[in-house]
Amino acid sequence: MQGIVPSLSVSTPSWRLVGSHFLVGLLGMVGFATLFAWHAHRLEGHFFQPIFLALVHFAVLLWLLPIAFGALLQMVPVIFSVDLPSRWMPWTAFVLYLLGSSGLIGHMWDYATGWGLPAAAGLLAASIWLYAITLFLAIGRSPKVDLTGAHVIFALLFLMLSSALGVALAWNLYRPFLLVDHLMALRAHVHLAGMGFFGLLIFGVAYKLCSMFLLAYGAKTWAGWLSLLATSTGLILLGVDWIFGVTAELQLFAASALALGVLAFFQQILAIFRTRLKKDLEVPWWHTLASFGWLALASAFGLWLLRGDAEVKPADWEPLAYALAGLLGFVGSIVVGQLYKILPFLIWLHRFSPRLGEKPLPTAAQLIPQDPQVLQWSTMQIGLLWLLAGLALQIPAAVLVGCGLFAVSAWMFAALLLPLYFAKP
Amino acid sequence: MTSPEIDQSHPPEHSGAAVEEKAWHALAALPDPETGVGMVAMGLVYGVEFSPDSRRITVRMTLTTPACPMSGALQDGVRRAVSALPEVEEVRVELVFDPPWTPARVSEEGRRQLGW
Repeated sequence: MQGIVPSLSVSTPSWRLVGSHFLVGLLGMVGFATLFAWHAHRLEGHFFQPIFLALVHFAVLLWLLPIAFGALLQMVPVIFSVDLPSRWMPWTAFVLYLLGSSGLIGHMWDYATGWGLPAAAGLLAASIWLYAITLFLAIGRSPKVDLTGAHVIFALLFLMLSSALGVALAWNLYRPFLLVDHLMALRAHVHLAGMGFFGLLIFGVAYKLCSMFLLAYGAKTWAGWLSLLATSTGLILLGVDWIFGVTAELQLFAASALALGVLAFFQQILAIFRTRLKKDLEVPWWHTLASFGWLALASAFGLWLLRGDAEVKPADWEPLAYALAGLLGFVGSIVVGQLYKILPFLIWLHRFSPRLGEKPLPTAAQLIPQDPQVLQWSTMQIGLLWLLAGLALQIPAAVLVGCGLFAVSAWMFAALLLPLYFAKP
Repeated sequence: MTSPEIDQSHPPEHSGAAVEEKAWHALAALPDPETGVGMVAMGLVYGVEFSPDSRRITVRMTLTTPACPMSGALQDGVRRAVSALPEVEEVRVELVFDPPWTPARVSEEGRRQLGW
């Protein structure tokens, strides 16, 4: 009986919990994209403007982060073969999160810098820390941490740091107290969240999901570990440099480490793709590959922008374009692509699998029609290209077209995925 | 009885062979929910053994990874598919990871369905 596992104790998290996070994320994407298109004419001038800050926080807090948390609550128990420590902790975090994030976005939109701004930020940070503690308690029950697990741990630590810094920034707008430059601290906040949390989470989860969905096994993982080390080191040093203003040499070293981290990530992904058994790549993978392209572009853009700290001041559009390439291109594309995989997979698991063996069932991928996915992908990516080109060439009409196409793609995405919530075998 | 794709050299050795053959066919029709390729073609079923005396059938199966979130669903699917056979009274599913599943276990037909 060697090797027999009578009952594998991999817990299946509550669909209601995970599905609620994804639903908020889906509706959040539609809400963000619509507002984004409506206010496309505001995408000009310096990036430190209320509407832009509110829109970016809307995208992060009501679209991308709920989906990331939903995926984490689903994946952590499976990856680590553990149960979540409690039912009420993630639900409490979810409720606090919705209150805190909507309060923060509302205050930013109106640039209301009264006590409500730091209060909402504090509520939001508390909910994020509660999510992180819930996941850490679960991970702590696992005897082994693999490459993906290590990425999840580092990503959560960076998110906790970023949210704490976010509270400090909100308080600083209410009652100035920071001894360091507000905009430099804001840069650190953005990068800790963007690259520290989303970047590392995407890297780590991509290793797992690409292997799982593409049936890729046997790839060496040294590049993934190198990427984690280099990216984390680069981010910490860059944050220290921006907040405390150390030296230009330190910034250069940190940026080089980050670039190495990205290159090593690509090497690891390449190694996984080379060993894949599933050759045909469906539309969700097109999103994923587009996301990696946006990551390369945003990374190169980020290095280019660093010149501004030396002698040349970047043009106003450059930080905007950099932020949007990273946020909507890199993070947005992969979140959309992987949700195309994860949501049908979960619906199949919870609704269809009880009939497996009784009657013919569609595969998870067949739960969503394929052709509209191609149209949605094209609309989203063309929209993003128009948006970036419009910003770079200072053509407001092109920016408007880009934002409009992106909004249409968000509505299409929601129209394709929302019916899954009602799907039955 | 091992899968014909894993070992075709062993002929049926006992009277339960016909039931085992039926069970293999039932399992072959069971798709992997992600790829759509049958579980047998994916090389996930290691063996089927039927005991005519107890009318108990034992299916030895694996997963592409021990952390597969579909673990419970696939085991239940196997139970349902095999328990539909009239000769079977009891189904036992043994989940094993030794030997571990590797891509080499996928049949030619499975590879074709995966795009190779």
